[in-house]
Amino acid sequence: MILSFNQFYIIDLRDGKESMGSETGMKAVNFLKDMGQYFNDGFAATDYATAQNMFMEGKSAMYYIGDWEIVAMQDLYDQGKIDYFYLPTAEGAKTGANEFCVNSGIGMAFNAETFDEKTKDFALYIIDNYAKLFAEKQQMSPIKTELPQDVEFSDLYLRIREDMEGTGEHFLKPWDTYLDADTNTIMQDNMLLLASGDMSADEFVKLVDDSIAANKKD
Amino acid sequence: MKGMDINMGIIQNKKAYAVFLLPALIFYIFAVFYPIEESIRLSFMKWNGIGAPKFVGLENYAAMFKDKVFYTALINNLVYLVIVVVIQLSVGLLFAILLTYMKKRVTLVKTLYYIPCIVTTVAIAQLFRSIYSTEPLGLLNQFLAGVGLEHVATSWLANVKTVLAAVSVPEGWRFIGMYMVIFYAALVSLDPSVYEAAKIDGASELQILFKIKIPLIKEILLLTLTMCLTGALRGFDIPFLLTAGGPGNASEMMSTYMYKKAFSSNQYGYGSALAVFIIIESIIVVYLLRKAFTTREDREIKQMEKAQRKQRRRVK
Repeated sequence: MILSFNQFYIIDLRDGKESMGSETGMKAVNFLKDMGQYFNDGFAATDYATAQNMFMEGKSAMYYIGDWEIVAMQDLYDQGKIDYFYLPTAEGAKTGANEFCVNSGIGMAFNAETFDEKTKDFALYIIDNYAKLFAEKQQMSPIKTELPQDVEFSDLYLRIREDMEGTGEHFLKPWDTYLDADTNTIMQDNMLLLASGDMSADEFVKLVDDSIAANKKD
Repeated sequence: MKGMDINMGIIQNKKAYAVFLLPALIFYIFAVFYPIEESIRLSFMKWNGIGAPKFVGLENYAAMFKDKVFYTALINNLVYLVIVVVIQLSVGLLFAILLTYMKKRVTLVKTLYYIPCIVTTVAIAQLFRSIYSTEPLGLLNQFLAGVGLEHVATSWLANVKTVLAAVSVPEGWRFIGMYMVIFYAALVSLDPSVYEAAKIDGASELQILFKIKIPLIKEILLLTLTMCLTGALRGFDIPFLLTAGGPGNASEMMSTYMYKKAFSSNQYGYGSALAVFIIIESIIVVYLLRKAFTTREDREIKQMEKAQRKQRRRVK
């Protein structure tokens, strides 16, 4: 989806100035529709454990997942049976292959009224120690840290870490962060139907447009 | 006789009544009544979870009756209800009747059949996900292939035509044992002299069952139907765990839609309006059920009791 959206389109879509059925929107819709054929039968009901199994057993060619599965992938990677790649970029894209949004964990908020010394201590302790402890477990830390010397990191880990360090200057926010929560829910619910051929492009366009109109900030 | 007098004394003592009822009543008010009241209040608001809710009157309800997914969820929920009630009550009753003919190992069978009720929902959902699965080939599709029905095999949870039934069956299945135990307890508590008399008069087993036993456990049938129907109207956990209402909204229930609207779409007001609708829906169903189960005879008895009570009060 990221390929066919440009930044201005998604903002106009959010503001109700553009339709999901416009030229750019239809490119994305048709892309999804075409993609459906590459997924296994019953894909909509596949859970993570099954998806991982299918990939490791060689029943599926690609598996889209985060760095938290490095440990699970290690053996097959060492045997040279699997590898990873950057998402390909579209012609005329505004960002390069190494320019993308890297989500680093889940945001945390503090309440000014209840924030006291003890909470501060706790937060500081996490900031100082979490990254190191997490990295020792061969996990990619959301907080940047020097790698501990006494742990022997795998090639796969070091390669991914290098990629993380080497992200480019620019990135575009993921398209879904521009839309309201309700439209996102409706899109996610129905994208599967669109891809499986159970919903027509027109129906999908109407659902999204109606939802954006209904949820537009008054 | 004396013991009975003491019992009557306690029942007639209003203070004793209050002492026994108050704890449960307080708990009920906080755990049931207060959340319902809050849902009703929120259903008149527009609120995204942050900041102050804005009063919008009946806007959420107006939106609800114009919402296509609401009608999809309502109809799906009714289909789910029929499947769940039919499985739970008919199979439960059948097993209970068969159990009354068993002489040995009754407790063992009861315990074994009751097990699914105490297994956590998540485990049941996982169990059925495996049964329905296509990759690796699940039990159901293996069975179909085994008996030469490969063409019927499908990915039950991803196919929009089968998903609704597929999420209903586990819920129906898991509580068969519970209803079996309730029906069994009711059936064995019947006075055998009643149907033994009928047997001597030449009634067949089926006649005894439908003309004597089942009419005699009518109260239990009403109770189980109420439990079963309100349970199915609130049905949430298994459909949510298996498909979260998907693909699309093909297996959307009222409660999964309510959850999505409130906690995924951050529309707490609209979600609350859906919650209020579920409450009203359940009340209507229970009311209709009680109506349907009250025969003219019952009504006459009630009226007579009322008249008697009036008379007694006058005498006092």
